[in-house]
Amino acid sequence: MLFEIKGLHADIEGKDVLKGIDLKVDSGELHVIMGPNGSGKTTLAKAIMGLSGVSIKKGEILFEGNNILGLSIDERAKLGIFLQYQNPVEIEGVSFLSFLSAAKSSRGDLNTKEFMQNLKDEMTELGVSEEIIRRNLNVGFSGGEKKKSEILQMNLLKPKLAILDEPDSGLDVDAVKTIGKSISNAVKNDKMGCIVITHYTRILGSLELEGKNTIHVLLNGKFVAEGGKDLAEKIEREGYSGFQ
Amino acid sequence: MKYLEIAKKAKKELEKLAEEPNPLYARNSLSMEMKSEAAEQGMLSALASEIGNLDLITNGEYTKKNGNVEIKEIDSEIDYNFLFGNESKYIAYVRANTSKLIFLKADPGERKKVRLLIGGNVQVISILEERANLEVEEFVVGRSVGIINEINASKSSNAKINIAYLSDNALGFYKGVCGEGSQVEVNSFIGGNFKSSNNLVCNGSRSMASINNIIIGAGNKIDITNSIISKAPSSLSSMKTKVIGAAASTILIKDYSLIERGARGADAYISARGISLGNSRIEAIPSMTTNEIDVKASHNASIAPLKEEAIEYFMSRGISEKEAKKLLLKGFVEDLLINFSSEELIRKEAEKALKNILG
Repeated sequence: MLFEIKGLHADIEGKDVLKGIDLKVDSGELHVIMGPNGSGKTTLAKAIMGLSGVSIKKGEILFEGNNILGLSIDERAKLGIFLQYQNPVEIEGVSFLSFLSAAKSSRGDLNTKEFMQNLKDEMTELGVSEEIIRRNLNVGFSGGEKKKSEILQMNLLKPKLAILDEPDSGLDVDAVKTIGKSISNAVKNDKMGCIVITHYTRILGSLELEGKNTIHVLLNGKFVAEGGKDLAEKIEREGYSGFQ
Repeated sequence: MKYLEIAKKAKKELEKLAEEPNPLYARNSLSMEMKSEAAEQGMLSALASEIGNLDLITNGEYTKKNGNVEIKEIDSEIDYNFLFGNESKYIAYVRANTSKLIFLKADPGERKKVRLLIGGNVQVISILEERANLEVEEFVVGRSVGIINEINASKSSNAKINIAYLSDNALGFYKGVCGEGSQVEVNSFIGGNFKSSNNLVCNGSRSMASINNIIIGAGNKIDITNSIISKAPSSLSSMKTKVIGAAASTILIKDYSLIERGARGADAYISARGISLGNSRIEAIPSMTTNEIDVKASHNASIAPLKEEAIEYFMSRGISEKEAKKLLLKGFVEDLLINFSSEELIRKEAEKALKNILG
């Protein structure tokens, strides 16, 4: 098993947010987590990545069989875990390209020629302009550019597990399709395990996937239902009131 | 007046002059220990070989490598009205211990570029005739080095003075006058104990004066006072400082902008931003006065630690915490760093200073 969460309890500033989460994700699987605002989706993503502000009270997070709770954020990233930020922070004075080079270099020697070629290919695939990589990281990026820049990073870093926190929010229909296709390729071709956190079902239509794809409903810090596309359609029709 | 007489007077005045003469900026003024020491020859030689074509100036010694520099003994008759008096004991100290004057003169329409490696107390006088373009790079090294720059920019001329204070203990002062349509830009990199008081005056209409400072303090005492006075219509002034303070540094930045009566349409801007690491103390005091209508004056100052969220974002891509901090701090000064003529050299010095801070 690539990734497993066992009985995870976590709080933020003393408030219980995650109240017993269990989840298994294997390579090449896509898991979608849906839930209303405040249900704990982003807290779960932060807990997996080890970001500050989330305090783990109980449980385990296993990656390739090893508990990663004692690891720093960069150690988790180097193992192959990637978190797509919902609102990536804007950084003055560091170009997107320098940031990408530093991220790639952190995983070993950087083959500049190969890196630049991959970057060019991925930018073409996602429809990202060449100009954006010279700009300061995330500074003045539009909503769409921010989402695409995060997916571009994912494609270049080739993680084993990606946690995508609302990759579709604020995007137009075409951009959702482009991003959906990119995620699908990583799951299908690279066997990347993937957790997509979303409010909307529309990205599901853009994910061209075979194999195991599960939708989980998170409510008040607990998973209350899981299923396939029919579950998403039910949420679309009835909202979350039926799961209370 | 012969410079020798000014220097002699400075020697006499040294003990009785006030440390900080300007009452507006006397607040929290830091004292510096002044002890004249010869520059370390090894340090000079190493930097000289790294930088290349330089005029080398040490205490009493001068090596001329390019033809752009005129050297004067301090008792030379000089047809020049010195902008600086012996205004404080620090200025008097530099004056009293200066043995050489460096004259840089750009003739009408001439483009001139000069590089100086300074390891002793000197006064550099830059005179730009109409439409002249002068670019000066000064690398100040050694211990207890003092330097005074005077800049006189005539109509439509363009002066760019870049000063890298790489000394353990430095005193640095500059004054400049901007004629009609001229531009004077002074970029300073400060990486050690340092005290400074600077003033530019926009005398001509549509003149432009810019002061840019990058300060990286690791356990240092740094006290800088900058002022720009706008006297002419449509003149532009800008003071930008980026400070990184670490390891119990005390860093004071005092910026003052004055728009005088008659300077209609003038625009003055002050920005002082600091990143405070550990137990450093940064104090930024921006101040502005406008005595004319139809002018614009604005300032901003902020001091904060490195954003935790930004460090974590970098780490989430596999970048170590130390590397993340280094990249963020380099990024913080990047917009001022690119102003330097020898951008790559200053970048290297900034990296060295950051390595001192981050280990």
